Amino acid sequence: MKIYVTGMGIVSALGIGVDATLTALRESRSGIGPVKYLDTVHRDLPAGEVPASDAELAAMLRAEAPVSRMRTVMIGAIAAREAMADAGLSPDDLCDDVLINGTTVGGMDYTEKHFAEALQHDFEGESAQNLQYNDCGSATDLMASMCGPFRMVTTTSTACSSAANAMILGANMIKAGLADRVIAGGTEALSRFHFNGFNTLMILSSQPCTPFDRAHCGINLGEGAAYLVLESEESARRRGAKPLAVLSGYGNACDAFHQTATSDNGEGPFLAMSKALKSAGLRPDDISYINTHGTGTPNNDDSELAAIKRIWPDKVPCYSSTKGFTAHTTSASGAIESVISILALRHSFVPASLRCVNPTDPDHAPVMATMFDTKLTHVMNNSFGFGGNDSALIISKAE
Amino acid sequence: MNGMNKCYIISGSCLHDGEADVRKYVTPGEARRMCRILKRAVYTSFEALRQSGIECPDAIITGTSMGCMENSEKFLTDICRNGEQLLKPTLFMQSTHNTIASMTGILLKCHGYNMTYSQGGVSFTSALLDAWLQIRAGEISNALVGCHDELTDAIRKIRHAAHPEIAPADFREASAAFMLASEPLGDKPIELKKVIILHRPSPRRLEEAIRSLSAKGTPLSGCSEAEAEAESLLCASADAESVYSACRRLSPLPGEPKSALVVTRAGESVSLIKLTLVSPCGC
Repeated sequence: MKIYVTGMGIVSALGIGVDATLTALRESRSGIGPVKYLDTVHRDLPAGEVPASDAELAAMLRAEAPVSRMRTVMIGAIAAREAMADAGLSPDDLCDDVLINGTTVGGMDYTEKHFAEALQHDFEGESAQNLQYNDCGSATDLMASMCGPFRMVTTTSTACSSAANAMILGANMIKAGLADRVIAGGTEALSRFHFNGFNTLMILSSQPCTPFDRAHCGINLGEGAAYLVLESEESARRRGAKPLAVLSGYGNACDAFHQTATSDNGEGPFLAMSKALKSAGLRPDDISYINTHGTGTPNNDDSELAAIKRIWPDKVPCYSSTKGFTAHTTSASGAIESVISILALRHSFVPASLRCVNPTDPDHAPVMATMFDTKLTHVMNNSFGFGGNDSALIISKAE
Repeated sequence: MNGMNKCYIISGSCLHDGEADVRKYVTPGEARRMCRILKRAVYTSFEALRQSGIECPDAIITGTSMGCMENSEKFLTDICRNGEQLLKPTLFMQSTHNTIASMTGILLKCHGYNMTYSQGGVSFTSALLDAWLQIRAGEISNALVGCHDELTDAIRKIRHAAHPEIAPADFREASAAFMLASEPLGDKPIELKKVIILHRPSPRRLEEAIRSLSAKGTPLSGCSEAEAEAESLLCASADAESVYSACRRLSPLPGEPKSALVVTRAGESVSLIKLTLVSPCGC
């Protein structure tokens, strides 16, 4: 059974919406810059922030009740609404649909603004009120209430592969006949909590990140949200919806190695990509482009490339990391990079691994300058999370 | 629709408040590095695995409403008290919700499907739904499915502020883990017939769903919706606890329940889980 993508929406450092994203990608314009909105002392660390303040985001969602003050929820709702509109759906069409949202910090951006006050009052009385309902599930519930009546709502939380895993559950539900249509993706706003968390692991770069370059020295954290409308072939045909792409395969595996590092031979990434190929019924040679996880840490980039070379020992397909554009959007990255992969498929280009000048492996270099007029058929999209939660998706051109 | 295979609950373990002695399953060094929720999760997971006789499951799927709350809270408190410097990396590393499933994967060296759900009081049901549909579709033949939550003093106070009728000390924490498989095990095989999660269902939609589960005149047992709501307020893992106790109550003896409908009403979701005792003759 074919799983169609019939709509998509995206919010990231590249801007609000699919059009802004496509323009930035084609112009090789990165969204990474100095921190502007996050309240942090680490001003030396560049980030990929959504170019809008909380007030501006709220204004984009205005007149719709209820409006959440959580940044994660606001950017999520904006991206999900774009995806639904793109698929030609209004909220009234959604009452049999499923929303699967990937997020890890949930409403942490809101919690941390009110935590000090609550701590001071020992979490008694009114001070505790702002800390209620900021968990992942509550954030998804709020987002759901801003987007439409859904039949079922759930949240995947596997760190940086959350959105990819949301898409996997969505596809499995459609295949099992449990849903005709699933809105799947993820959202994550920057929070002081995880910005500092990644910083304690000493894996953040003080320069704009350079995945797969010999000088790669860490991640830039970003924020964003993206959703895809996954739909059964039959449902799409019934309502005359045109597929943007096909989610033709996917794989989820566990590296089972370390809480925050990937094994040297990339066992988890290797298994995830192998499973994805198998589920799509494709041979490695069929893949025309890999949108890598490519965070820009030596550990990730080296083990990911090692895993790729295990699957493609002779000739590695063209690959790049688009985290040089968007920064690492953590839980949202699987969906953000799925939208980028679909744009690449539909507009026949391969976005560059920005700022990669001296590749770590000169014999298997990433795409260093955007390739235009390049026909793509099947794109592999990797997302690897803490704890070795590794997932790979294969997105194919709709015929 | 796929679903050629059946899905059985073949073992289970449940623990309530307090600390679990995991030294039966991990080294003292590993145990020392684990926070409370991890210890309970590891204990119940390994217990369910031991009973099932399966060493390495095809999938590890976990639900958690709040995740590793103690570590998250400590990390936030450190940021507030000491500023954004000299923070402890281990608190952050063991704060993400997927810490539990991935740590279980690391301990078991299990490279299979690994997944974590966090949808309030239906987190476990979400994990169960995933395992159920993959086992029925033949994607996997077994899965370790768990639900783990921990409460801190702060969380108890925050919940109390939202529900003043419940004293902070009355909120419970629990861990439960089950092995699901496509083949039954033992003399009391329980089939997981169906898992449904509904978001803000209308009374009509809920009624339809319940009716669809009690087809063929199967007698149902389980708690009322009002009781279900009260339970999920008291304990975030109420859906998992209820499945555990329902499995224990089902009995082949005359007069005892042969099937159960576990209803959970939590936040904006209602979950329905139908369990049926399969008669040993297979009829």
